[in-house]
Amino acid sequence: MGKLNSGSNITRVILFHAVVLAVLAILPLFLSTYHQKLAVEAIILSVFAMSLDLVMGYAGIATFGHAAFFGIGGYAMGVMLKFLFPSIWLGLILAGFCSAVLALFVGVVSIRAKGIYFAILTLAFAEVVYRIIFHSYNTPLGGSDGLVGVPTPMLGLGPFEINLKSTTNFYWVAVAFAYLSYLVCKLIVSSPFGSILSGIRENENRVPFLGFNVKWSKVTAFVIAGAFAGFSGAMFTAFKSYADTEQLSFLLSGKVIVMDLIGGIGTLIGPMIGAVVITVFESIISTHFAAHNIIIGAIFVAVVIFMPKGFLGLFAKKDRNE
Amino acid sequence: MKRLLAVALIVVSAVLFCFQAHAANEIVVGCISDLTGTYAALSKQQVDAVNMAVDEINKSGGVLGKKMRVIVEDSATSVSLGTQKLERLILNEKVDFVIPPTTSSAVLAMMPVALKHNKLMMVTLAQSMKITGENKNKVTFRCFANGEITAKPQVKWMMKNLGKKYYIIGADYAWPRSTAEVYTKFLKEAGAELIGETWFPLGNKDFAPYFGKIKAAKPEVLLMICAGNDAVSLASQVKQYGLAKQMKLAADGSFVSADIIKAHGNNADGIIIADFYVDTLNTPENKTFVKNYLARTKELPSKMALSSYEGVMWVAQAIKQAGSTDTDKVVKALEGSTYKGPQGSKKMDPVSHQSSLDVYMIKIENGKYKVMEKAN
Amino acid sequence: MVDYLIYVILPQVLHGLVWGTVIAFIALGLTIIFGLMDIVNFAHGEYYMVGAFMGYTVMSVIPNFWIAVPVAVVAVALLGLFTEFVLFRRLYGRDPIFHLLLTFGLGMMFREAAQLIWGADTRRIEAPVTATIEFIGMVYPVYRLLILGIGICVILLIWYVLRYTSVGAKIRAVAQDRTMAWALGIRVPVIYTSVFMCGVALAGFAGVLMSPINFVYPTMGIDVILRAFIVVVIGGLGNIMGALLASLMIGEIEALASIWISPTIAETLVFIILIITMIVRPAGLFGKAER
Repeated sequence: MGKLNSGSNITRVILFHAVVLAVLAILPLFLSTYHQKLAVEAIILSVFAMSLDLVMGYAGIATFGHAAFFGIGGYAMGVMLKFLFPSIWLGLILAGFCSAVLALFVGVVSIRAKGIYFAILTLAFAEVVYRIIFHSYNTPLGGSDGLVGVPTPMLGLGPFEINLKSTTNFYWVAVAFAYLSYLVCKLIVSSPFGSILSGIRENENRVPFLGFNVKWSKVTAFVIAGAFAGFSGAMFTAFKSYADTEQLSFLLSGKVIVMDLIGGIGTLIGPMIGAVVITVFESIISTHFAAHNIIIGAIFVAVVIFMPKGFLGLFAKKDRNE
Repeated sequence: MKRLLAVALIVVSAVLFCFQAHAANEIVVGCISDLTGTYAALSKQQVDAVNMAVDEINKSGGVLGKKMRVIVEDSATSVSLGTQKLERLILNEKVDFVIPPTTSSAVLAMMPVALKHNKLMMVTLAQSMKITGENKNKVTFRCFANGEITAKPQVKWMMKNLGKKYYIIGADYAWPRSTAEVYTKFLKEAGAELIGETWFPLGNKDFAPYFGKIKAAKPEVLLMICAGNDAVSLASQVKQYGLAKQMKLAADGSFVSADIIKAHGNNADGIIIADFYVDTLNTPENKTFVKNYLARTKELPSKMALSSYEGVMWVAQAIKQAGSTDTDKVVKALEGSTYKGPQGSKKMDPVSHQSSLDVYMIKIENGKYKVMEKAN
Repeated sequence: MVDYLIYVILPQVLHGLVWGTVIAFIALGLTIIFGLMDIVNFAHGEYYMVGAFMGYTVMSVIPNFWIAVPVAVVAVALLGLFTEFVLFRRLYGRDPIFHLLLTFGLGMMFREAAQLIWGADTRRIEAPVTATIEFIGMVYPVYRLLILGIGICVILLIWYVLRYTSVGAKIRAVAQDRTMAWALGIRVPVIYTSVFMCGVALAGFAGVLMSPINFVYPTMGIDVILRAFIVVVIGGLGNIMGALLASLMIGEIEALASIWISPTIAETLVFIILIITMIVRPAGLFGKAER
């Protein structure tokens, strides 16, 4: 929606955001509890997909290990709620911190590698993290059994407390979480720093001549993306009451890239829509078809071949033609 | 902008799509099964057995005058999909009880969900020790064996007949590890010596590098704890490298479970296991069960099929006894109840929610199970 | 000390050598395809799986292993032809990350399709040779040594073709500079298609040869792809000799490490080696220049 922001009509933008938020806010009134739950999951995953867009769509670096940050965030929230202190806020802080530190380490160490090599390096790092947690049998993390039985505490909000055990409440919290995350990321990509990232994506060799440090800009983007992936992983664990090694697996890393591609990378909002579409679609289709992975695999293939710019890409093209 | 709204509308309508009503005069069984992925073969048996049990119940007039109906969901060996499906079955399909899938981690994540919605879960496949016993919850029961039930009599038998020095090799994840802990506990109590352990990563393909170490340790018994394709590869390599000449072979029951016994061929011959069911069990009830199952699916039932069948039958019996499908009442009826099925009679422990089971010592001969004796 | 060397270390070295050849077998096709067309084939393990299932199908009709092998190889090559023609062809010249994603989705489809066609059960193929030989106090299956032999022959053959034949020269020319090769009248699409077919046929060949050891089931590709991937990257993507050496290195490291440390840690160690390699030499241990 860069298009909207660059336009002069700020009231239109605000109005648009208000309408979308209003629609999202009243949506649960029309949904059954199960569909609300599905919606919460989709919204939380949409933040995960958006975080990947920061590195893939804006800084132009492909990573194939993004699930590591999502999973670590999930485990951090699980550990906080189950063993340390029952507070969502502290869980989010711990999750963001752990994921960001991991992202900083991975980023600093591997940023020199380019293109497919960087993707493979991140995959390798994610696999190491996966293996360590998978084999952490006999630790509180539970190894391959996962960290289960994470309690759902109240969400303290100044003088108020929100009961997150109610799915509808969690839905609104998730919408607020996704919206705030979107705003922050939007702010980042619209800032001068965002312009540097776009510059790196377009032509990495020229950016240093403008006086910017390519390496550290990339690492910073990677860390921010890691932190947001951690936040969404933490929300996922808080909602589902478990953290599992599945959240760390390379299959999820692949899936989130496809979510981004379907929505259209470099748009922030596109990947969010992509995540929602894939999550909802997977749930529906796995109920009605036995061989659902064939269909989902076919969608991956079709998206990569026919619309590498995603749904939003399709729309953008039409706009120009009109 | 309009297009964005259009997309949002499509998503919303897609979510609203697929609503189903629930008829009042039927009992709905939710069967969540890992129909895609590593456990697909035995999950198919789970679904077949659940359907068979329900058909038999309906043929004999249903339960409390109501027909039973099965809704199958594929959880695709995924924890998140599993919990999602459980919520769908409970909230949208209004099932009366649930038969959960094979993956232990998925079942463990489902337990709090079932508890929250107060819906009965009869575990018929997952083996994790954490499901029953200390960590059990009010609505979760298990009619499948856990490590403890089979390990205790097996250790007793092995100490008497095989030897006193043991070496454990297993896949490195939660289930084999916790099973090994149980074995170790009983072995130590019986005065055996555990001289070594090797834990290999899941999906490992080459076991030859570990055999040198095992041979050098000179154990009397090699105890193998893994399942599925790992077990098939391990057995074939143990045979190729001639380990059986130097030591006796024993395993946890899943090492040679019915879904892989054909793949084992003759490779598993001579392995000693303790298990609660094999299709060759010589009782009239079992013969009828095997005949019906064979007629229905053209395969012999595994212990997974048996357990899923008995699980549905047992809950149906409890519903009858309770006179209602109300979860609290059915839970009360199940606790401490006894059930007699094809495998024998068993009792549901009211505290641990784990069913007792008859255990047999079994030897693999010519790729078939040979029951040697009842072990407990 | 000498005893320790002969009875503990030496057997492990042999295990590592054989297992390294096995990994190399699977990795070769992967690295050849990347070297020529920049395709990171994440579905390589699935071609391997299809090869094994084809072998199984033939064996259930004609129980002769040496008939099953060529039939399976040809079948996988045809599947490669089909997928290259319908899918991969559309992506040439695009970023390799797209290939990674395409093959990621393709792998999902293949696994599920295999389960639909053949079922999820683990199948077995009898090894054509079941004899074992005694060697420095240990029993060794002859079939494994046979695989070692076949592996070495195949590797030599590929090396010969690429180095000393005119086809090999053309392939190398295309790999070096596609446009220039075009200009010189080399039919690049034909080279692409045939190399892709050969690459996946190698995977199919490995699949059917391995099936007496590894067995046959729909998800068998996932179990091998990551390791094959690792050796290809350590060796330098597209570097045949590098992949070969890296396979042997990884095979030896895993075999020797398992004397002293847990196999699980050894497996993680392999990933750490990969990371260190890529940081120190981004183009792979045996790669020539930074790409």
